[in-house]
Amino acid sequence: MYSARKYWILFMVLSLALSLAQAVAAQEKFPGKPVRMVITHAAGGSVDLPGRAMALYMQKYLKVPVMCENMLGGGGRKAMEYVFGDAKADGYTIVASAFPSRLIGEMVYESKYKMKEFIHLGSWVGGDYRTIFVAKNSPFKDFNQVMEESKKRKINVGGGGGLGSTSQLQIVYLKEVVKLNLNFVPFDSDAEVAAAVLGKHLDIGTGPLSGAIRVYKSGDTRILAVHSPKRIKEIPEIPTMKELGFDGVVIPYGVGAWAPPKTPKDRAKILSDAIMTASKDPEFIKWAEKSSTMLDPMGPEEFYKVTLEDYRNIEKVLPLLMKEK
Amino acid sequence: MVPLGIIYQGIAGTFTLENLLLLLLGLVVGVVVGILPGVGPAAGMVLVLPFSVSLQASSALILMSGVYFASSYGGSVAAILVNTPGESASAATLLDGYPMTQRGRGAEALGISATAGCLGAVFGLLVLAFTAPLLASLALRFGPAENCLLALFALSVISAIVKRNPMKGLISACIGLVLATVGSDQVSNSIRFTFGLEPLEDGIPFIQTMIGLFAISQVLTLSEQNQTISRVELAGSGFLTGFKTTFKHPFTLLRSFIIGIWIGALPAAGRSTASFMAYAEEIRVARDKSQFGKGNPVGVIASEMGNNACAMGDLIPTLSLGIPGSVGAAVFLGIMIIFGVIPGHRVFIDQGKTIYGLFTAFFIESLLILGLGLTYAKYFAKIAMVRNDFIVPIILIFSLLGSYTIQNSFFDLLITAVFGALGYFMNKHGYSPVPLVLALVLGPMLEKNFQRALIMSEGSYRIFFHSGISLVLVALTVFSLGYPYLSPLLKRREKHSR
Repeated sequence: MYSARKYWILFMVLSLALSLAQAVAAQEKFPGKPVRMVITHAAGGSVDLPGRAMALYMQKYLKVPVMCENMLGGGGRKAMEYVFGDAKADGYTIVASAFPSRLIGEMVYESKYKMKEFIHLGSWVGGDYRTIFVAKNSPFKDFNQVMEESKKRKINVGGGGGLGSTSQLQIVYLKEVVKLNLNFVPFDSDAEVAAAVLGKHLDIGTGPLSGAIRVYKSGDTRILAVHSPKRIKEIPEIPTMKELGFDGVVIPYGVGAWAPPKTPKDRAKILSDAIMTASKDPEFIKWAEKSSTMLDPMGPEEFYKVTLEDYRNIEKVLPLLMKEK
Repeated sequence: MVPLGIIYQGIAGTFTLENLLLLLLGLVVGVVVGILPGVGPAAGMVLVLPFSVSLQASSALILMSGVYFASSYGGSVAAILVNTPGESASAATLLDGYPMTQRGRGAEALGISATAGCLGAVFGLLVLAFTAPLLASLALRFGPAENCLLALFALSVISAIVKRNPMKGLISACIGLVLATVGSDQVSNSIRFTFGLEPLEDGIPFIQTMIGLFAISQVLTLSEQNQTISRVELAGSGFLTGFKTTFKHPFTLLRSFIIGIWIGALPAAGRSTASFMAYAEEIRVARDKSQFGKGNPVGVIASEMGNNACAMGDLIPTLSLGIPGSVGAAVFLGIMIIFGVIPGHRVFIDQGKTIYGLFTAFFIESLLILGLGLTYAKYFAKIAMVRNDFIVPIILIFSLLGSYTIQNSFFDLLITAVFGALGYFMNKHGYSPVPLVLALVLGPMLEKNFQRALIMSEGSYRIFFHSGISLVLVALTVFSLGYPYLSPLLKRREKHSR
């Protein structure tokens, strides 16, 4: 009994000493221990994979491991609220997610986080604009034919992702700005939308460029339009919505990282430098090419500006989005 | 047609020392993440991702294939021996697998699981390799209306399950259907039945519910008895018996295989749906339904066959269209893309070497799993002989840990606890949990597709009858609902006429 207690005390003293040592070490140099990257969506998805790839190359420059952790719920709101309010603002917790969907989530659901107050560390994925596509043997040859047909009947349009997603934003644009006479058929994922379009259950489908390009290149679909500011390099034959005469219907998509609002500036800079250096790493760029991930790195200032711009854009359609609620 | 040379290159390319070691590593990781509740194949694959970035595409996919495939075997081991679904795909296995263990037939159940799983994978692989484009285009014909009717047909089997005690069975099914509606409604974008609890907005989490309903309720029951899980000594019933038992039920194997492959080929439904549907179908066709849930080997064969055939079926749309057949396959797709294997019609030719290498790896893995199941299963099965006061805390810790890890959420522990209590109550009072779970799995598929179909038809119910597939499904449902009650009448008539 006595000796057991002796070991117990020894153990306690040792662990105390260790944690003190760690605390001192942490004070001296940042980062002195692993950095936690909270990912707002499920493992293996379009937020997770770019997030994990970045973590892998970030740790090369931070010299400490970057551990990824998926925190799911409320379409990303749970994780954002956690990092905004509950996580320690010491630079050891950051969050990776998609934009502008987190912004839409904040505005539509009046969430407890404020995107404008987060410290913007940087973004690496970008330019994955929304697209409109049909099956290869669909009667619609171009988007104008869809518009013509919609004067006679309602067009069935599929979209994946719920309220607060970029998918929903696209549908609202199509309905209210483009004035397409449509029935919105909601699906759980972009993949299910593609399947329903290929099976000719839907007239047209909507989805991100990265997914749409793959099915388009294998010859199963035709992309009718892209919600981008200019034509896409890989598919120069596809017109933008702007060219089709619908201005202001650009729907971007990107992945970036943020730190809690009160994170010390010097630590935030170390983190965002690591992201910027990693996104220029030749091996990281090779990974992106292989995985057809669209890179468009933005530093903290530019990233923050984009958030403000997105904020203004979404504010314009907010009443329309709220109508869907 | 794919040139034979490419197929040969793919097969031969798999047999390098590096690839075989990677395959073995993937297999071990897969079995381990499978056994641990809460760590599914998706998490497992992402876990080994950092180690694979420097590998060639074919080697990396071989490693991933091990995790993707073996996790369901690991899940079944936990399901059979301690009533804990290691992952959702194995949830149906515990319904009869665990009662088998209780009766001292744990090793046999493990043998069945390995044998049926291996058969499912090997035949699934053949179907995948030779008819993937054809099946994929057939599966595309299933739109929202057809998927809704398919779910309805699968649910109709409840009428057969509850025949012995209709009131209790229907109560169980209704609880399941009601629970399936919790969360946000896609069509109206409103949040329903969450009682203001934010974590419930994404619906009742499936695996956490299953852990409560089965593992926790079992822990409660076990702690009342100062015994072992297995009530009898493990005599006579070994792993080879399991191997033989499996082959005694060729029609069960066939039916479950077709269901598994087909559910896999449909983009919206995954492995847990397949195994539950295969299980339910066996109950529907069985003469003596009373043996299900009490350790009927047929139940284990059906769910394992359905599950593993579906694992291959899921890859049909994934490979030939680039549309993932399930969540697990979506992760696999993401990883394929990372390594530059872009799916589509031409993948079998353009990336033939990698794809056929992958198929070879799956083939070797299923044989290895069979070997593992037939040799080491008897040692695993000894768990059932450990005294309850040792095993109960261990099951409890791992179940709760698993439930927590999935979303890192304490609320999920609460869900597990609540369903643990519910499961315990249902056990004690003779309510079968099967209708509840079936309704929980199929409810969302039924409701969402019902709503989608009606949006597309602008409210006209004619959409449910407009295709040949729909009509067949409607007829099957009517038959399945009515048959259990009509058949006694028909038999009586026959007697009269004699």
